[in-house]
Amino acid sequence: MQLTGSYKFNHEQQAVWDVLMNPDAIAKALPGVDELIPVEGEPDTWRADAKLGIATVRGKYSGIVKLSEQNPPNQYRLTVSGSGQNSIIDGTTLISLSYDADNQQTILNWEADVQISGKLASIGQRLIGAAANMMSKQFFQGLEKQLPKS
Amino acid sequence: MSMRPANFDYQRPTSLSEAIQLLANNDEAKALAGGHSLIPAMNQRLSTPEQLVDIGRLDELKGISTNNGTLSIGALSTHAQIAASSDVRTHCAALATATGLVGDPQVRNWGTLGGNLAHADPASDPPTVVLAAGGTLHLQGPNGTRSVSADNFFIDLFTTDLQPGELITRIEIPSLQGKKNAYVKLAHPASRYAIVGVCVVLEMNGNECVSARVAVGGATPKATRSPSAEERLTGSSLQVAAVDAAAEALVNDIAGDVMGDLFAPEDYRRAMAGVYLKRAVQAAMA
Repeated sequence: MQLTGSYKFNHEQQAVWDVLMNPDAIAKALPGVDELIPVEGEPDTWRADAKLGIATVRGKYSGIVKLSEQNPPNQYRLTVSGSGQNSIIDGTTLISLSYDADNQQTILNWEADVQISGKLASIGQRLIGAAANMMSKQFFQGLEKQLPKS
Repeated sequence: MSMRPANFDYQRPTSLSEAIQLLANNDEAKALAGGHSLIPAMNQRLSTPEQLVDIGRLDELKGISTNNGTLSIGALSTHAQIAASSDVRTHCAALATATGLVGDPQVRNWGTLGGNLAHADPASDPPTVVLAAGGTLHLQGPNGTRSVSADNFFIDLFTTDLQPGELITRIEIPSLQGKKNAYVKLAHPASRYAIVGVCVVLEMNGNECVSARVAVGGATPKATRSPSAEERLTGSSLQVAAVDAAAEALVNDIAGDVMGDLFAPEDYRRAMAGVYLKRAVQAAMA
């Protein structure tokens, strides 16, 4: 399933890039995640447990978060693979930044390819796009909160 | 696939304050009203609450009445009770229509308005009407009572302003008697969930529409008003050109938020949102 979205930060592009690359900031911003534990021998790769819930569907998920293809401060790839609720979730997102000098905003565009199989896929198909949008918004808002007020 | 729920503790408090206490004391507790969204999720083990707090027999949450031009609906009123209520038919006909179109008879006889609004399923009918009708939700929680307008209650997909331990106690809707109002929906043929649902409330002065409220659901992550469509209708005499312009404005307002699935892709839902706005205006004026 292909999904796209964007988010505007009222900050300089380098500051946004730095927070996007900071594992502590990512852990704080990821909904339901307490910490990212580095995976030995794999650069920029972390293990995470998340407790997520939308509506009555709540559960524990565990998975791997990986940053790759970094081209600072313009583009990188965020890959998440996890499982929980008798389902397997695989997603990869290409995240691109650009600076809008007129409005002094950094614009983040994301293009994701998400595959969900198992129980969540069987009941949640009509909701996956909206759920992904809601969680990505929470994630970027969570990151923006950690940037100094501009 | 298992169709039995995981183990859970069951409590049936005898008062609202006791229910709120139980819910406030346990993060993993869920309130059980009609149970027609929660229990299916539990049976699939997608929801595994530690404790169910059954509020279904609390008389404090029951009853439908009208006081000084305001319709007051207890949170535990079932869809069937609301659809059949002469108070509701008189003061908010669109809500009687919408509740009569929810699911199937079993769902309408058990499912409650409070539970429905708290669940905030984007494909459900009542949130769209309560929003268009300018309803207010009365809530009670561990910190006392408060009220929230429907405009501020629905936040996102299955997400509302309800805080932990809070329950909806009743829903108030200003009487729409004298205003034209209607709810129309395109229902999924199997589930009866709304692919698109539109509610309009039109205040007329002769042939002129002097104020309008328009809300759409089903296509969007939450019940959503369309300020641009309201603007197009207001001041018009609801001639074809004005209603067409309002339909186009509605589609533009929600364009970026429309959800699609294999059955009804985004483009189709967008197109139907416009069509159903026109039908809602027609139904209201009929």
